[in-house]
Amino acid sequence: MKSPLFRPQEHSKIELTAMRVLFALVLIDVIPSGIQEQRLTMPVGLAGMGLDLSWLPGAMPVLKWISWPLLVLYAVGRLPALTTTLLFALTVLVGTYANSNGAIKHHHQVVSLILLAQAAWQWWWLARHRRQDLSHTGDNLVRDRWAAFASQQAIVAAYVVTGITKVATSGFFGWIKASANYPVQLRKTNLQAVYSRAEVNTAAGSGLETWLVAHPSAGQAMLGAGLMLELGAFLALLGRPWSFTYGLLLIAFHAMNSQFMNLNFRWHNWCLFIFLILPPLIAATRRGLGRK
Amino acid sequence: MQAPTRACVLAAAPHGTTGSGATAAPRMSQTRHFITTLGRQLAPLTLGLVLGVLCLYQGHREEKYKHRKFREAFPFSHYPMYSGFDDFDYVMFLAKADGSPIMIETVTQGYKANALKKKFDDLIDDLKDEKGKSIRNRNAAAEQMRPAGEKVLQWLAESFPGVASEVEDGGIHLYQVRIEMNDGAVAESAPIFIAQLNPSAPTPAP
Repeated sequence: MKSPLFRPQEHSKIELTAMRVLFALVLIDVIPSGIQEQRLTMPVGLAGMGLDLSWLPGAMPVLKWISWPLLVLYAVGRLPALTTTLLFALTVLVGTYANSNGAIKHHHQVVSLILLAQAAWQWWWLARHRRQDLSHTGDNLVRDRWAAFASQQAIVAAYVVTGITKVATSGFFGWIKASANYPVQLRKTNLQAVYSRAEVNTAAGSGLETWLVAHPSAGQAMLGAGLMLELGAFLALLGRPWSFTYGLLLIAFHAMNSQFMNLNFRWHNWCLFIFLILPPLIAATRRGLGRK
Repeated sequence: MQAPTRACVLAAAPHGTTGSGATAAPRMSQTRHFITTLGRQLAPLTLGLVLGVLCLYQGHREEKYKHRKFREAFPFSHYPMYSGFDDFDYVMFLAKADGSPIMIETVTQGYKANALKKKFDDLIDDLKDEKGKSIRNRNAAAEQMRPAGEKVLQWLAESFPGVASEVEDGGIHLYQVRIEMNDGAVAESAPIFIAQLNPSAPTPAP
């Protein structure tokens, strides 16, 4: 029987270790040692369901200390079910608090989704194999390859959902047609930079605005390509060449958005690099060095 | 060699031509074969599909229960930003009593004008005109938006000491600049006064 089109890449141990270590470094940034106290006027998620998070700013230094051993264990691949679950819980607390003041941001979600996917996979694996001998290293290699695949799926799911939401809200062609109004968003971004810190830091955005007003079809083609990229993100799961190419395309897409719309994609870019670009890069380097 | 499955054998069988009963079985088996194959192809993507469905379901609930203040269920989001491009939008900014702009990042240690707008948007969505329609549009009068503006200013003053000291130092005002596509060009309005918070002003209801 033909094997499935979408399946985990055959990562080497060094690829899997590199992914874990780098993602642990991202998590150091995601879980801060302190957060600014704020009124949770519009609670979301767990806070919206009644969980009081007013204690979180005071507890953050302690939680940061708790996160250190978890991150070390995660990086070396020990107790993966436990570490991913607890780290997921920490990122959910931080993300929920940050988004509960009435201004929802979308920086944290992808990191939490990756941890959720990893935790779900690890618990499922543990449930299936708890009575079996796991001393054989090959088993853990299979487990970790699937954990990496789960992470890639979480990233891809976020992009496809973004595309589907656009199509569901405005229709595929409707969205592309309406994107002729994109210059309004560029002007808004520019003005918001002015009123935030008295500087026009999106000079490139001003130039683009003028150009797009003069060439609306070019803007529609550009944004249409971005929408296609989001909707087709699942192609990144087809194997190493696809994940490498797609990772680069999405980072380029983010770079454009950051330049023109003043948006922050730092964690998204790191996740794309770690889970989509880095493994094929390491594999190609090792092949170049004559190692399997 | 592995024996072919029943579904495969049935799928490979020629289409029956000897009556409706004979044609129905191969068709059904073809359908079953298709579903089985699709299932096998998609099975490794179960986690991604579940996460995607949860995110989309969350978005559906968010839209459906908007009036009940159902908000994003972190970390599940349907990422609604830029899901539609209107030919109208606006920017909110803070100013001193004399109308000179206050750079919001400098008095809040990092809170930006885009977050201020999101906060205002959330509150303005709760306000309706006399016909019960949303006032989040280009024709809304400043007076209609004032209650939301006053709540935003009150929240800022309570959340950020820098804003509170600006209030003590003569009061703060909230302004709106409207942006729209007009005859193929982007046009912005003069700043429109929305609300103010003075040192001696009574606290607006939360």
